[in-house]
Amino acid sequence: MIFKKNIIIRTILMVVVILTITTLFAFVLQELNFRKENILLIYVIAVMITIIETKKFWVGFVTSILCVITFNFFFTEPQFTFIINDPNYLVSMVIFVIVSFIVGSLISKLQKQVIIAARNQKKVETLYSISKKLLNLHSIDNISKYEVKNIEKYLKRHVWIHIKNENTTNDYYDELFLDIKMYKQEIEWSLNTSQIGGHGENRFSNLPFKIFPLKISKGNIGTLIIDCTKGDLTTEEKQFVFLIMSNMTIAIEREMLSTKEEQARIEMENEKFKSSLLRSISHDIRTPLTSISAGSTILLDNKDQLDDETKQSILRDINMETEYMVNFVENLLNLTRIDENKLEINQKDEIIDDVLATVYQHVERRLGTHKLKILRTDDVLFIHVDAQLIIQVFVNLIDNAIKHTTSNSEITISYYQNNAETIFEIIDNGGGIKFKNLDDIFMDYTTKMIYNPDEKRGVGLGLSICKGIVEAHQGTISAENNKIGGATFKVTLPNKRKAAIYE
Amino acid sequence: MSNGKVLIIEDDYVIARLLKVSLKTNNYEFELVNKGVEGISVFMNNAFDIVLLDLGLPDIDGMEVLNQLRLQSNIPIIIISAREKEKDKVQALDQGADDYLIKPFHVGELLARMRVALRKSTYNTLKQGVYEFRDLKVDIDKRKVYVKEIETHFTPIEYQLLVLLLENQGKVLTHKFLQKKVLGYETSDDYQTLRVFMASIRRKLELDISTIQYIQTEIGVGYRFIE
Repeated sequence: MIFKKNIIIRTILMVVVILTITTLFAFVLQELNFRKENILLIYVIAVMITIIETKKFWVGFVTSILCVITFNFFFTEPQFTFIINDPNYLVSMVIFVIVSFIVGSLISKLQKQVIIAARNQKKVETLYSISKKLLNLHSIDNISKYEVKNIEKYLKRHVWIHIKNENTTNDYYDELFLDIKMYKQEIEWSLNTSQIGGHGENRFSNLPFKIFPLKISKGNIGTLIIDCTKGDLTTEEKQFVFLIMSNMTIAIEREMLSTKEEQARIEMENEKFKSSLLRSISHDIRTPLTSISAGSTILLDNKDQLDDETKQSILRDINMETEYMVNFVENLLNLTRIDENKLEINQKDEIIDDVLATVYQHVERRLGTHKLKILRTDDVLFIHVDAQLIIQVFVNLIDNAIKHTTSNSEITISYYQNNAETIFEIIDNGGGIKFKNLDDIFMDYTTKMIYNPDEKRGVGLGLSICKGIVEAHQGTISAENNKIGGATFKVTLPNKRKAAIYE
Repeated sequence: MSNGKVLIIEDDYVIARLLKVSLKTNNYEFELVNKGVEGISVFMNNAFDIVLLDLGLPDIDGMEVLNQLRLQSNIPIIIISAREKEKDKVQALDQGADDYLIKPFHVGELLARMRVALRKSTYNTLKQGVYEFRDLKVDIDKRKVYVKEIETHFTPIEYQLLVLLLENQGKVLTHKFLQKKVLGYETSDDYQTLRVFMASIRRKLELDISTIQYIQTEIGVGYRFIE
């Protein structure tokens, strides 16, 4: 109110000043014997200046009346009275008022358009900057948070975005201005009917807020709720909300599409991995099964002819092949675990010692004359992994070392941790890796068979699985030959899985 | 003289036969049933020393059988199952199973676990005296621990954990059990504190994990002090 009063006082002051200056100027003109008509024209200028300065048409109109009165009082015969002798002046004054009226209305119209144009430009700029930033945002989460901030900023109203996507609901707001649970029914209504409800609308008009449905091509993804405790939205505010909402839904839709594409890509890769794996597995299973089946058949059919030593050796072979099959099945099971969860593995904080101790328990039986050394750090360290899978990685790497080194060889596992990652090294003192390209050993089994069809069984699958598991942990695995002989396998795992990058 | 009477509840006949042969050669008496409900009723009408229970049964779930048997008695129960998930193991152990073997298993391992479980029902607490096992010596009266004849400092909690593991030597103790028994409060941090305590005990006992392991970790489940 004080603000308004100030404006009125200022307007009155301005009119008085302009009128005074004009009148003084008119007196000067009169002294110089200019004709009265020119003096009247000076007043037209005064009216125009008033309209331009106050930006109000009615002020201009009042001023023009005041001008006519002043003119009449000071300049028409008889001077200093409101009486007019010459009827010509009466006509002039009427024309003056009409001219002022027309000119004034034109000016004020023009001014209004300038204001609207400026406002529109600002709106466009705002929306442009909003949508420009929106392009860089990923995930529905970030998009919603961003739009909450925008509406807060530009409308200065509380806002609540309620997203319902594939059975999960998420709420975004800056301040808890309402208890959303109380209005479940109203929100559901808006979601289901795609209609605006709440304050001032046909439905739920007595609520202190408005509910807007967020429409995407598949239906409604959620609702946007705007606080109306300070009054209903103006047409302009409503327009702004609609523009924001359409921007937002476009961004969400784009986001959903890209997530879908990403999923499809991962699924395809998984599918490829699986099918090439299946083709190769049969080879790895048939070999031990053949010796088990042949061995047991011999025992069954010829048990009386065979001497104890032969029986013993056949049984030992069967036993060994079975051990091999057990580990092989373990590998396969782990593979299906990776596959089923679409690379979403079950990571937990595990103590590295516990993991390595378990690895030792697994391979102990198969070590034979090979020696395994596990070097601990002084501190108890944690690592964020799927223990079952990571154990399999080490078991496979150790198996691989056992298979490719002569008896009495030494295998050493050591590890260290920096801020970002934990690095494991599995070092053996065998003959090293014969492959020309060291990365090839992690290659898909089938591809390797093409290069080296006489490959001893069980080589490729284990290492390919290692690679799969380590990569599912967003880590890396590599191999190199040591200068002093033997090979080193290096497994690097991030300490915590980083969230996908949303900036 | 028999080593004890075993109730086998197992529907896979190959495994059942294998169990029969192994138990017979190791001087156990046994009764074999292949359904859960039948197992419960046979259990009610006979005296057994130990139960071997498969979880995947044709009529009711093995977990249900476990619950029913536990309502009746404290008899040692060993689960034999192809369910290899941690949560299945933890669930079975927390609901009163004495041990859990995953198929495929080694017969030797089964017999060892059975011996542990059977012994459990006879003695249980280390109350006094000196307990010795390989390079480890625990003086219960003086609350002192020696590794390779060298006195090693154990904090009160570490000591309690060690004694608890020794009292249950050969048996797996779940995180939940140890947490409740020694730390005395519930936790939602995946038992991180407990696991750090266990890791530090392990560092004191096992100077090199690749030569001797006193404590076996069952990742996601708990710990077992070896026999």
